[in-house]
Amino acid sequence: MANTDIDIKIIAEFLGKKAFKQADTAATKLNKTVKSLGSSFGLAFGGAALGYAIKSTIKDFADAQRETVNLTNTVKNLGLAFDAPQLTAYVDQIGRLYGVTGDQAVPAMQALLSVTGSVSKSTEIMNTALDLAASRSANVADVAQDLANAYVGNTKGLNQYRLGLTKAELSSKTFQEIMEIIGKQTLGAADEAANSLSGQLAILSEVTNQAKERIGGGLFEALGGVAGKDGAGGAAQSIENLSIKLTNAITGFGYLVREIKIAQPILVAAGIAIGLAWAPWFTAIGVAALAIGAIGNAMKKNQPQIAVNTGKLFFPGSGDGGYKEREAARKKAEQEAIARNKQLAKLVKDQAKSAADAVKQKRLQNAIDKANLALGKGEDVFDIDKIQIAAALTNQAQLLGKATSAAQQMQIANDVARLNVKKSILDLEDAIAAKDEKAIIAATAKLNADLKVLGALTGQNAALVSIESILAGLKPKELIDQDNLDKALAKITEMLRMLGMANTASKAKIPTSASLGSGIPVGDYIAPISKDIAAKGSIDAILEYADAASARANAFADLLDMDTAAKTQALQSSSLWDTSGALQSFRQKESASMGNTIIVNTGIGDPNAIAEAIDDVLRQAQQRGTLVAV
Amino acid sequence: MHLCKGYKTKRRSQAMPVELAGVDELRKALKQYAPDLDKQLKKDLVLATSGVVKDARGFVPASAPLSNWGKGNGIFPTYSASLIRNVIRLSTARSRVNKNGFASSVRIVNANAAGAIYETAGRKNPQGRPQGKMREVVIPTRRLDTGVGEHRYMTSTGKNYGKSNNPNAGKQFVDAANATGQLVNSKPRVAGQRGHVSRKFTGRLIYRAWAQDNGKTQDAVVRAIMKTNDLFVKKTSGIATAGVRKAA
Repeated sequence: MANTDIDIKIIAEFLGKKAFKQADTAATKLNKTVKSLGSSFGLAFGGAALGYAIKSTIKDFADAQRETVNLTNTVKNLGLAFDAPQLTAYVDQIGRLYGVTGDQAVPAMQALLSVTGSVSKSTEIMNTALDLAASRSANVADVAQDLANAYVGNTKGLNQYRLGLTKAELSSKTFQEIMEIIGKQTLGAADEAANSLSGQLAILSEVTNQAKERIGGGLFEALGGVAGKDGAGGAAQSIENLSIKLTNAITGFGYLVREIKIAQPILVAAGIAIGLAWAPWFTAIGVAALAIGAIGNAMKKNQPQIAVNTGKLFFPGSGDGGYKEREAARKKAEQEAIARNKQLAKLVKDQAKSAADAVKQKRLQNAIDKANLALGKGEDVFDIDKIQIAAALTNQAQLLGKATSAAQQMQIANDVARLNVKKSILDLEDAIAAKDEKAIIAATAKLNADLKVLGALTGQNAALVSIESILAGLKPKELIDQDNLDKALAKITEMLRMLGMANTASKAKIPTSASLGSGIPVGDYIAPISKDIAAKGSIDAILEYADAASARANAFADLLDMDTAAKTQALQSSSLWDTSGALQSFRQKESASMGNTIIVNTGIGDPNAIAEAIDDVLRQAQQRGTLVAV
Repeated sequence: MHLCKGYKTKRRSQAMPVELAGVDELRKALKQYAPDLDKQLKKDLVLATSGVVKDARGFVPASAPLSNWGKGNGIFPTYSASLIRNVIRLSTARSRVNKNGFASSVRIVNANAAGAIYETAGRKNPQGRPQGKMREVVIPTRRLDTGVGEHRYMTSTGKNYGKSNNPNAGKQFVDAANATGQLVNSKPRVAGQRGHVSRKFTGRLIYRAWAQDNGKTQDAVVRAIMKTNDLFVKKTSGIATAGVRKAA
């Protein structure tokens, strides 16, 4: 049944249009956004939000300061305290260029510094880590940690970055080779990622955070002044007090607007001013804030500065600005790192060697266990009495070919096999004593083979034929077997004789018509033309030649027929020819008296068809004259 | 207890359809909680629409308006009076939502292709589809006996044009259909109405029957649904309070 749109809709229901739904969804989202924005806006201008913002800003500053202190301490402990500013600048720089946050960069640099002991090496690896992290969408800190691990030989963490290398390849390559591979695959990825929208947003976020941290630092100092001698606790209390006061001020302002009519003209005037010069209003506020800040900074200059890091720092001891000392310290740190890495490499090598030794020992133990198992089997079947008997029969084994009965052969074979087993056991014991793995394996295999032979000989169902084959293997081969040699010579003689006959036959003259007495002279024939001549001749000439050859052949055939007819006539006119018919009568009678019986072998089939076939054969024979009468 | 807010559409001549909100939910609730009421509602709806369905089936000609239409050679739907009659029926399956956001849950359908053609033939083009825009089609051929050749014929282009070689085919088809049943608009222009009058409610079978019904069936259907709704609300002891309601 086809589905058509021909219908009468009696009851309809509005289920909503897709466009309406989309509009509803959009409006709902917009409402939520506006609501959220409104609440944020309200919060932003509320005293509590202001207090929270100040606290948050100061907290960011504190976090950043803690990170900086950690990094500085790491560098300082490595004896590279003079590189701390350079390192901090580097961390800030990658934040501005690539959006790497401080809480990512600082742990990463700490990890790298710890293993390399060199700022330049660490920054070099960090640059590669930035590219790798950008190309694989990974966290920079994690990537740097994995690279730091790889620097000391632990390449396990690099598997997740899909470098196209197997675990074995990663572990077999040096760190420099791995860095080259990573560089080849990811060079420039960080720059490209930074140019993308998300990268730009990350950079913007990081720059904002840095600004926030700086503002937080300023606020901290400012509030420190407000807090006085109570320190941070006093600052927190000051922030709360400030926010409460601001809230009260806003509430009072609202009350003023609502209750006191005087405030309304002020508000109207302020509204007009805002409406006329919205941007200048903000500018004025900004200028005022800057002026206040400038006054604060001027006052701050008169106060003694407190260093953030109060630990042991570098102070140049010579007139060249401490260049030599710094270079010496750098060199020392790098050498210490190299020495540590060498020790680490040696440790890894020793571990690998010990692991290989353990494997070798285990393999040897396995071989010995197998050998012991085979020895156990061998001793099960070994009997010293039988060996003694076999030893007494060793000489008889040499006369094995002269054994007259199968029982004797079997007995000799058993004894020889047992002796072989004993010999293999002794060989295996020697190999085990020498701890020669290959020899143990070979001797075990030999023993197993001998045991198999012995098993075949001692088995109840052992066939005599297989025993004979075993005996043939045990029997020493004669260098020259006279019987075989005689037989071979006889065959060669026969072959030579047949070859001689064939050669004589090949040299015999081919009988010709003249030699056969046909009367055709020797050499009287038209030689067949060669292919080359035929190819050069015309078609007519070839046809003429063919006609001539045919005519000549016919003439000779006629001549031969005439010769035959003449000889037949001569025979019939001779006394040898019997025209009485006695001979033919005799033959017929003889055949009839003997009663010829023809046995026809047929398959299973239709009797009528067989009978018809027989009849057909007989009829054809009669027609040919080979059968006179049936 | 239901929220009856009256008809949304004005009661023009057989204005259709009536908008009832919540019918779909009512049907689901009935199937889940009161299957007996659901069955009863179906019976009531069948009974309410039986008059229109019966009339529409009666308008189906016993034989094809054009004799060859009933012979079934080609891809054109074959006319079969019995098949067309069988598929003119009540449908309670919800239709697709149209471009205005409406779906129908009670419909009288003419679901046969040949029936739909008979229903609407001449509705858009009372004189049949025009036969214009002819073009020559040339198909290259190759035969073993005569060699390379071509096959040429004239045809018209586009779905809005007749493709028959007979230029009067469309008119003859519509005339033959009109000879067995007249096109009737079940939603004609009322006095004072301005603007375009839709031809979508014009037909020879179900629309004709619907026009003759004068809205009685529609009222019966609404009554059946409202009655079922009341029964359901009563059966659920007032738990279901937001049943079927006529849209405002």
